[in-house]
Amino acid sequence: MKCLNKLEMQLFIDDALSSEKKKNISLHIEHCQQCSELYNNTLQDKNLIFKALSYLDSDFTEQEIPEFKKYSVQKKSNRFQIFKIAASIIILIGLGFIWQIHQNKQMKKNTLLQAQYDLLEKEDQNKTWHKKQIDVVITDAEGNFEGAFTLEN
Amino acid sequence: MVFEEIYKKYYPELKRFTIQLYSDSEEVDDFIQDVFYSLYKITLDCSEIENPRAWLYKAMLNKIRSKYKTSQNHQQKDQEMIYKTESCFDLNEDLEQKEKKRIVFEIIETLDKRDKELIILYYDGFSYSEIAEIIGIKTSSIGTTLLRVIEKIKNSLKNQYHEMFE
Repeated sequence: MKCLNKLEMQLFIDDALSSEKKKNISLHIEHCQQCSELYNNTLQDKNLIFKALSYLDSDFTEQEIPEFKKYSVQKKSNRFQIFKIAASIIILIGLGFIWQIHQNKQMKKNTLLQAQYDLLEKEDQNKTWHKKQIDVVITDAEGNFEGAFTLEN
Repeated sequence: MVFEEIYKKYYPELKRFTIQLYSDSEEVDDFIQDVFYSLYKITLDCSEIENPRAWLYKAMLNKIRSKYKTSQNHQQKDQEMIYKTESCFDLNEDLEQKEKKRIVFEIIETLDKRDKELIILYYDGFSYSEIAEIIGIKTSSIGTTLLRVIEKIKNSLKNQYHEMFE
């Protein structure tokens, strides 16, 4: 077996190789001074990095785990739902008002038209009444005008 | 695993992971709630998640990334984070410990965002394939990237603070 390079050694240490490869490498390291040194150095580096990173951990030991707020999270979304519903209601009320204003206008317009119509109706009745006047023209047998008068109602 | 078990088991480490990657501690709790709520909804649908731990980390990472994308002042937030982390140090804490923490923090902050995510996930004990899945890169490139990041951190530590980390 060939000696290992840095990458192969790193993969070996991090257990990122197949079991067969690992087995072969283990056997090789036992008998190869150079690879044995590389193994120790790589492991030392890993330990150094882990030791260094552990200093960043020291703030986080024994912290309390808060209760999972699944309900409050749901509430949050419920609240959002309520907002949505409230907004819809407000829009509907707004539309209702607009519709009512429009209806009022329409009603006023209709009343006006009705009044006008009533007046017209009355006028028509008058007209009809006028029509009831009969103009009578009297002529002789040859059609010569003899006289005229109006019959009223 | 039942949702409550997952929540109790992974809450602390997810919080730590989030704080390490995202500065605004006020938002961290909301992020965690949102991520767990997403998982909760999935469990309500009776869907089984094969690897809930990796799922949570991936969901959180996506959340942080999208937040960074939308927030314009993350550079400023990064600086805030340094301040916040320094100010939250325990007053009774060993001075040397404090100094080591500051050094490591500063070194990690010099890394690219992707490298930082990678090394934190590596430290958190995820396998190469899990890291690849969470970050969204090929498994085959994890080894080389990791080697480069380890080398970079190691050199920074050894060159500047050799005696402190012996």
